[in-house]
Amino acid sequence: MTFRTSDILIGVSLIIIGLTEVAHLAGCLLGWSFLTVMDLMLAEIVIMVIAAILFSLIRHKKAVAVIVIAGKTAPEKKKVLRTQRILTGILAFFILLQILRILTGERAWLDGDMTLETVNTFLKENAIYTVDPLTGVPYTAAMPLRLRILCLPTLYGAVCRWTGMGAADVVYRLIPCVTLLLGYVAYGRLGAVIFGEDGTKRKTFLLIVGILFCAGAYMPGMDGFDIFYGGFRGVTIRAVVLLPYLIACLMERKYFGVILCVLAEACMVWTLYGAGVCLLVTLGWVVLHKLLSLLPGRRKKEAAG
Amino acid sequence: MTLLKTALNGWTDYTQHGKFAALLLVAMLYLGYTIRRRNALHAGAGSKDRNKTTMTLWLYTGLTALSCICPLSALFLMKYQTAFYSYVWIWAVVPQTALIAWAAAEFLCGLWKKRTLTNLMATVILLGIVFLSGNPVSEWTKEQTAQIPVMDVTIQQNPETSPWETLASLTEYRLTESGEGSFTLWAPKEIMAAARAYSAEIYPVYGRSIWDASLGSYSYDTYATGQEDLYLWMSHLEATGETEYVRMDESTGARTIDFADCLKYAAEKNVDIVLLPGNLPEETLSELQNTAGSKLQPLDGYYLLTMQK
Repeated sequence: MTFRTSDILIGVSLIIIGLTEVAHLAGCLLGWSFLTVMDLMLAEIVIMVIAAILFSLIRHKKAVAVIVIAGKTAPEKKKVLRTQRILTGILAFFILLQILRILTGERAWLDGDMTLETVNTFLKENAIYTVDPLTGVPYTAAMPLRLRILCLPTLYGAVCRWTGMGAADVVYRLIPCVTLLLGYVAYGRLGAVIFGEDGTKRKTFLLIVGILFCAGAYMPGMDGFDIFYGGFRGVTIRAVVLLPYLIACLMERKYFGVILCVLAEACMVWTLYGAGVCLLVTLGWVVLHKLLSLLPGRRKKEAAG
Repeated sequence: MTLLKTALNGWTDYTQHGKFAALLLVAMLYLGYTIRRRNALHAGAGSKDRNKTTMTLWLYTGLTALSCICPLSALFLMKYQTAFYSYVWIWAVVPQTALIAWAAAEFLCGLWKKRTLTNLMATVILLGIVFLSGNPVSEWTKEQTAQIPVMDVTIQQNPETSPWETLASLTEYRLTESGEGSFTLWAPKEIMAAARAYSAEIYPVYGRSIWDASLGSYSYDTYATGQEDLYLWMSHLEATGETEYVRMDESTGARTIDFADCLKYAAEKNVDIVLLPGNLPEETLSELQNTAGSKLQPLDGYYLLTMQK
């Protein structure tokens, strides 16, 4: 099994979401204070970092041993073509412009969303969902459990406390930038799966993705709009990060990544009891893949090959 | 039934504001042609497994796009997505961006093999088509979004006072007047919408969920009639400048709500500060002042009234 930087970056982000979910549920169901929830998150993250360091050390040792036994030398770096260098430059400039657009943006898509109110309320009340974030008044009935379990506000609140940044800056600026960058990582991964070693096509693919982000910022549900106006929402992270990464994992049959995506969606987006879009895409993909394998022409070809 | 109607009309609404769906269909056709003609999408790669997976991606996108267009399957997808999300969200299952970018990358890299002026022109035209198929600067886009505070380092270009600035002035005023940072507020819609996002120290007498139905799912709590009256009266005053609002109710019939009723209910709810729209006619203003029994104080384009306890 090979791990790439993109796998590590997205994997770590999804694991952080999972750890936040554990701490968030503790706060929700056991009535822990927000500060205690943050302490638990911190402890979880420290344990994860230590485990990751140990895991990478063991892997590194094993890899060195294999190289020594096989007498292999480090592979030479391929010469990067001029076209690719130009494309990389344009892409970097483009991403920078998009980050600037998010940082200087004056509008956000807030219909049906109360993330910032929720983060502010968590921080002020030092508790999770004890009062209605929209009025600050204690709930008389309750908040539905299906929405109470979603952990993003806790994560954003923790980022506010750890960095000292204002909640509005974290929710409307920092998180959308992170989502955008992770989106490029996920699409980069998908491009690598589609085009293999062809660097020019991979970079062109990413550049077009970037153009589509900008051009598609015209209505909710389009990737561009979601990133530039609602990059903090769970549905945006799902559309821009989880789904492209999920498809890349499905194409490579890396089912650990698939499971991570399905679980992360359940932690961030209101789904049908966890059965969200990622699960539906996975089922659809697997069925289609099986059906394609069963096609008579294809089977004959494979047998001949 | 409503869901079926949405599924039926969804496709028309979806293609009204931008043309990415059309671009997706063109990309599908182009990739299909490429797959058929060359039987392998990656020149030189020759990997059977990769061809199979890319073929699966192409087919998967086609089938899911078809499912979103066909009303019955769209209905199923909407039901699956808790039925809370609107039609556009079922398109989440279609990897639109990926497929359009894949087709465009294939096409462009094919063009760049021969570096001629014609190919350069074709590249520019294709990129132009991709860009223009969206509609990122429309008024409709603006309508879908709300103003947020600008970062400190940026220069604000909008000369109008934003709700966030008004809330800052209000908090400052409250601190100066009573030494307290927290207060209960009743104000026009835009101020109420931004209040809790600005600070959790402000307690609006009703939340955004009173007019944004999609926020209703976040709580089983409902608003009292008095809270609804406050909202309706304030919205009416803002829209018409009239101080009386006739509320039609199925159970109680027509009922007139005036400023005095609202102030009474606001006092019951421990409202500290009332903010009224700033664009009121002189006579309305004096009528409101008479009812309140005190002079309304101008603040950032609004009129401020401090409730006496």
